[in-house]
Amino acid sequence: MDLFATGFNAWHQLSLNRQSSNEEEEPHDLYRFTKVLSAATIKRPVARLTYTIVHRDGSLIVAGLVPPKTVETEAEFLYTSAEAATGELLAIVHDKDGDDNDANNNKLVKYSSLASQRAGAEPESIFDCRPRATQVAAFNTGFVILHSDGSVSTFGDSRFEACLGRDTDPLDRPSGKPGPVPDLNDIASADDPIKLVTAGGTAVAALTSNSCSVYVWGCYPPSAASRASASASSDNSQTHRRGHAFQELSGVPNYTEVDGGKDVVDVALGEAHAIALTTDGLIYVSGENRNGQLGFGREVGRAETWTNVPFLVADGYKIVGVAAGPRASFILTAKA
Amino acid sequence: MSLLRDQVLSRYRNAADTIATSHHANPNPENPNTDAAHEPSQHESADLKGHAMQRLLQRQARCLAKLHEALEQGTDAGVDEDLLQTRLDDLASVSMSTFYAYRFDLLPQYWRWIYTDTLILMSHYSILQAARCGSFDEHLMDCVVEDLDRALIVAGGAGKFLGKQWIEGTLDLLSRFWEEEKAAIAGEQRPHKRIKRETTFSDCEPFGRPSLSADKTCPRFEGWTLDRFERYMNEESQGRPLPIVLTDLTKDWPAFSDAPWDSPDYLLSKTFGGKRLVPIEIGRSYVDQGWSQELVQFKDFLTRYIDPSILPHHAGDDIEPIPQKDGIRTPHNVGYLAQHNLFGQIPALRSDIQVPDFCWADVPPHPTTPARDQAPVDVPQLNAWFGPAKTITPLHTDGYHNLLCQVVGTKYVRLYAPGETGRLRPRGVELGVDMSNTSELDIGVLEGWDKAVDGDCDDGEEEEDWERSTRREELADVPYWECILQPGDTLVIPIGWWHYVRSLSISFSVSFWWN
Repeated sequence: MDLFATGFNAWHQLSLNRQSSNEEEEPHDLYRFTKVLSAATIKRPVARLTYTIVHRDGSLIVAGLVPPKTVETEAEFLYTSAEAATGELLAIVHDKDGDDNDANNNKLVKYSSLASQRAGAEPESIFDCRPRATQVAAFNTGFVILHSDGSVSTFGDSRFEACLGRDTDPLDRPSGKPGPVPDLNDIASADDPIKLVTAGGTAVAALTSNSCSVYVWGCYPPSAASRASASASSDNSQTHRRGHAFQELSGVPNYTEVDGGKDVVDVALGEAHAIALTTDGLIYVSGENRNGQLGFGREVGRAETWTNVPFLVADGYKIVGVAAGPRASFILTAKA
Repeated sequence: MSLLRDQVLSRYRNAADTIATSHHANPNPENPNTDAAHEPSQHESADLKGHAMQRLLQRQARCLAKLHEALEQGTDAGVDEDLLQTRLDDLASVSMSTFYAYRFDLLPQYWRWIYTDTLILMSHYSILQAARCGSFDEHLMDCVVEDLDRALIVAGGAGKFLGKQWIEGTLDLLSRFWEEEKAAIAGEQRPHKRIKRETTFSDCEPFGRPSLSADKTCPRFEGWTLDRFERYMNEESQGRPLPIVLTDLTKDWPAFSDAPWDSPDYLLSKTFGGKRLVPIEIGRSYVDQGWSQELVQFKDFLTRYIDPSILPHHAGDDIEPIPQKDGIRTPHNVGYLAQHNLFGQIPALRSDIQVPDFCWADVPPHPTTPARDQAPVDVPQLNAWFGPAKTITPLHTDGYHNLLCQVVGTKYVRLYAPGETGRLRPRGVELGVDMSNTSELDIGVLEGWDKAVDGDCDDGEEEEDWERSTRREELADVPYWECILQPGDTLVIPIGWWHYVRSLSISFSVSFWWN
């Protein structure tokens, strides 16, 4: 399998094959999808602002700037958890007993920071999940959880209620505890459950298994939203705010149409961009390209809507998945 | 070669060296006492990002130092300047999104330092570019002042090694340098043409004024000593003072004489020719939909929102004209410099006013709700309030006693006693923010002075009218005080009193909060 990457690389976090480090040299961003790793098996990378973790041939490899003295088990924890912009971490806990006593139920733990997790501190919160949680993702100010029955719940900072995709109420539906996203759970049914959740910046998305549709919700970054004309792009560079991947974002999950309604098999959100793989094997991207995260080269500042990015797949290979870091995109290919 | 230019350059060179070697966020905090008061959550994992960003910042500072050296020696620094600009923008945008991700009181202090230092480096790069081609122009100075002001306003001028003091010193040096440059340019060109403009702001009240009823008008006093004031606030009122107007508290302020705040020329001269940024609220009232905040140049604020005739429009100016309907401004383009500590940002204006002695008076706590009392402030908190006619501060209450001093123009104020809180419909928690110090009641709409701004409710128009008339009836029974403040008047708003403030003309006021 091969892994291709493009985007933010200020800490060499895309240079998975790199051996030595030359601290003085300012690393360039990658502006086009570039092969960064080949191996028999590669699993979807997890990329944060300063590092990337990839599962390769049964072990984890790390590139970029990671927390000092990160050992394998911690890399595993970082790989499987989700981190909000405030450093809060959410992880799914697998029972030590591991038997099927309670297959319908598991726990989520939230740590206030990696330091507190490392120090062996008690988690800040523990949530019981029924049905069990199968996947978590983080946006700037909270988390989205996918359950084994294909339903989705969210929790986080109530200042950004739209990111939660649901109403909150201090008593019945507190923002700080996982609560279902009702509109989404209406859209997805038992025949067509949500198969994946992804989040980044102030946006959250879910992908359905059979209808292969992406639904997004969230809000614009605060200063962009405060403008009278809420344009998706950051129209004033001096405000130092990045734009967003989507033209329309609200607290209600909305279908996002990719190139006239193509079916989507994989999708990932960055801080201000998004990448999707369609059933016909094409890659679509949307949003900011300031660090090359869309893979269009340097000339393109951003893409206002889902746009096909040319990607040549080697003979006998096909694209099997996509991933995103806050300011990077990844494509995973395998032998067809 | 200009001496001031050299001073500017060497000041920036030293700043780059300082940033290149300073440490903000330590991945292993060994010295938890450093600035501990400002870092409520000094955690290692949050620190990884901070630590990484700091290293990135240091690398950019070294690039700038290299560029600086190359400029002096006339060599090529071998620095990828596109990449330098991208990285500075990365630093700023990551800092900004982190600012918003944290609730402001939980934001680790080093994020503010990183943002400040990034903006200093951005302005450094602009200065270097201009020095290289030997031309400092208006646009460049605008950019530099904007970068530095953003650090002061957005990050509060926070800095471990540079920060507010360095920025103030730099702005002062830059303004002297810019005066010199302008004089040199003017010397080469045709004689400087003096622009004729009105010397003071208009005192016109375009929307009229509410008629006051004599029995509700706040009493006016003069000649009060501190002793007299303390007696009024405590014994005489039994700790429940009523709002009053003092007419001679501010009569010695230079702002009324040698430093005339009613003169656009004077204000421009104190704000780097109007280049300084100020935060502006746009919209009728902060509880309305479509309300927003922006940072704009002071001169743009004056021309866009106060008086378009103040400055001549130059070709190429990007000042957007305000859309006007039949010559009347719609609420969406009322701009208000509100609740901003202008005097912290621009200390040159601070000496035009004096903190009244009364702000040191012993005063009673909140009369009904002790939970509303704020932590004692060491020094009175100053805020500036400057805007055109018809700016509105909706009915609200503060956790402090307040002296509201009117300097330019007139303002109408309506006040309700703390004991009436239950009848004033305090708001609840809105989007995670406790809004209970603000009332749901829109005095201007209920009194028929303003049209309602369409809210987000789907109620039919009839239902809205019905609701409004119910509220009007409810409110009609609630006793209140009111007054119109003239230049020189000071309104004493005791803690807990609900107040609604509405400017009648172009108006500039200063408030002092204390407890």
